[in-house]
Amino acid sequence: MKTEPGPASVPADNAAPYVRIDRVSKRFGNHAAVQDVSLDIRKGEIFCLLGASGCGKTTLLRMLAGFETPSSGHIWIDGVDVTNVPPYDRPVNMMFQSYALFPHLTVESNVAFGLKQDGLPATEIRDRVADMLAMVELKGYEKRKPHQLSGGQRQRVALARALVKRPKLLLLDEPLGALDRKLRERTQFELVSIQERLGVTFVIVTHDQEEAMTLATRIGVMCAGEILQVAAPTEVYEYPNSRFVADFIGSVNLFDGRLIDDEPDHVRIECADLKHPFYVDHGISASPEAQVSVALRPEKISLSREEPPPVDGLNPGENTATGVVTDVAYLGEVSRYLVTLDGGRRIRVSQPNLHRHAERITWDERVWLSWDASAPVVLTQ
Amino acid sequence: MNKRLSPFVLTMMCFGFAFLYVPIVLMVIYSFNASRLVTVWDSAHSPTLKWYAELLANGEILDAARLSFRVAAVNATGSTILATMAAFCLVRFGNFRGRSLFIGLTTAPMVLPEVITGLSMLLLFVAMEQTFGWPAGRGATTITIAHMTFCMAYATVVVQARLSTFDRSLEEAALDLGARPMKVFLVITLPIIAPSVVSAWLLAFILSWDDLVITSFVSGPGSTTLPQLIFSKVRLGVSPDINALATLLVLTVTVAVIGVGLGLQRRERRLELEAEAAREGLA
Repeated sequence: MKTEPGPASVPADNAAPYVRIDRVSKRFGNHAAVQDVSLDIRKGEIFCLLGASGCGKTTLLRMLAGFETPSSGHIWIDGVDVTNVPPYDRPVNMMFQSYALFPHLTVESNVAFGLKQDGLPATEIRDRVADMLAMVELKGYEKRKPHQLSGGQRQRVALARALVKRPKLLLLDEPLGALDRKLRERTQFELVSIQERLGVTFVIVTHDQEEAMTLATRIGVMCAGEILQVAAPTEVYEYPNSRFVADFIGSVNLFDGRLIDDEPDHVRIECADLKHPFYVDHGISASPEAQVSVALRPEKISLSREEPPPVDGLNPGENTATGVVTDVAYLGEVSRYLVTLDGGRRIRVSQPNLHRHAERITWDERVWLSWDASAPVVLTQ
Repeated sequence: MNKRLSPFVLTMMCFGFAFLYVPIVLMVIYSFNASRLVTVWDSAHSPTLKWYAELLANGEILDAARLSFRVAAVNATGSTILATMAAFCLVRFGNFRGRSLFIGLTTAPMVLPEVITGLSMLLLFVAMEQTFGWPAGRGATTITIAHMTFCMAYATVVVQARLSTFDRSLEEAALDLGARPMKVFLVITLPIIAPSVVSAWLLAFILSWDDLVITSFVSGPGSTTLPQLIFSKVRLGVSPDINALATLLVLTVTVAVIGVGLGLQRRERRLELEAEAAREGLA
């Protein structure tokens, strides 16, 4: 029996969790910002909390830092219950969204601040600050004040300041949010390489799915104070476990349908928007005749002017549709199409631009859409 | 400059400045008058510095000035400390029960007539002295306490304005890096809000320095502040050395204001230069 592939691609599933969030809730008055969240984070991973603003991801991060106390539940870091430990006694450092550099101190003093609180000898502080500034490529900027730095430099000072104490856990609140596009791309790779070199466990909060996909080893998708899915980036994208996750990560076409043929190795789903049913090449666990949703990613659909050849095992017309191109956006590496199906439903399709001279499908053309039997994701939630 | 000032605007401007400063200029001029009669210009012997010499030899005036300075300095320091604490409560404790009442109570002395404040302070001090013997009589201590009650209100407003725009993540960052709350306040919060604390101090100092009404309620026989002395001298008839004293006061204030202004301007200019240098360094 072939079933939906599970999270086998994530290694070390049995490793003891380094950070354990156990049934944590946080209420502000009547509003529950975080509801009964349990989460295990492994040593050395980059864990990304992804969600829209107001979903509770920042509250969860602030509870890890110690700025908020959970209303119920416990947080363990490296085997120690830190639920009620104040922020200045936690082995955790945070990089703030606004960077929160001390404006009246120089770059050097900013980075040295944490070490000074620990009462380390001056020579050691100097050496460690120098090492850290060298690592973030800020040598020669020691005596500058934060306002004399560019956005990217400030971000690196903030990173150095948070890392210099060698925390067990580094929390990053929207680490790339304040940078422009070009700088973000460069910085996110730098961030990953620094993390790999130091082996510090990172927890990142972001609303930007691209940021989460590139940085994270695992992503936790949050909505309304709850964690909906925890999985590797590819998993979250290719095997979302709910309509919300499918819709939130990337763009997707969602169809409501009814299970009409439920076999161990394939299912058929009838859908009001399509003339022919979906054929999906793996079994699902759902009651017969169940109402389900089908998610189809735009890039998994092919467009052609001619009818696609029949596929073995599929009834004629299954996994195809016909329609008229309503809109085209040429983006360089891909083109995005909006196709109005014969039934009136509009769906999104994206096609890679593989050939320079190809005559591209354009407005008002009649097209055939087709997709592989492995492409549709059946969602029961 | 293609935008010329119209004659009307120019006239109004001159009139306005004349209105503000002609009396002071006149007073300064008359402080060099040799005549004993304040209103008569003795052109034969003027200008002269004899009133200034007399002033510096007058122990009474110097004592009053010293007392005023001491009261103002102690008051400014005390009320700035209290004001910073009050401002912290107002800004940081969120919407606690009775917050608006607290704000009202903090700022009420600003709008309360000084006569009322002075009278109530006097009654309090008398009652306290009768009950537990402190403060014994009225003098520098009672003046300072009375001044603090109303100066604190002004100082609170100044510090509160700065604190309400303070980025709290700076404090959180310091906590996160291992500093305890008291340390965070001393090494992060206070240095950053320092300019507003200094302005609050200066404001409290000036308010105390020239207060007359409240002072006259709570001062005792041995303690006369400078404004009290001037006022009592004027009541007995304006003597020319008062002009000299007033001129010195105006001079002091002018120098202080210009000094602070220049300091701020220099600071701004320096920040600008630094920012410019940083930009060039990047390019």
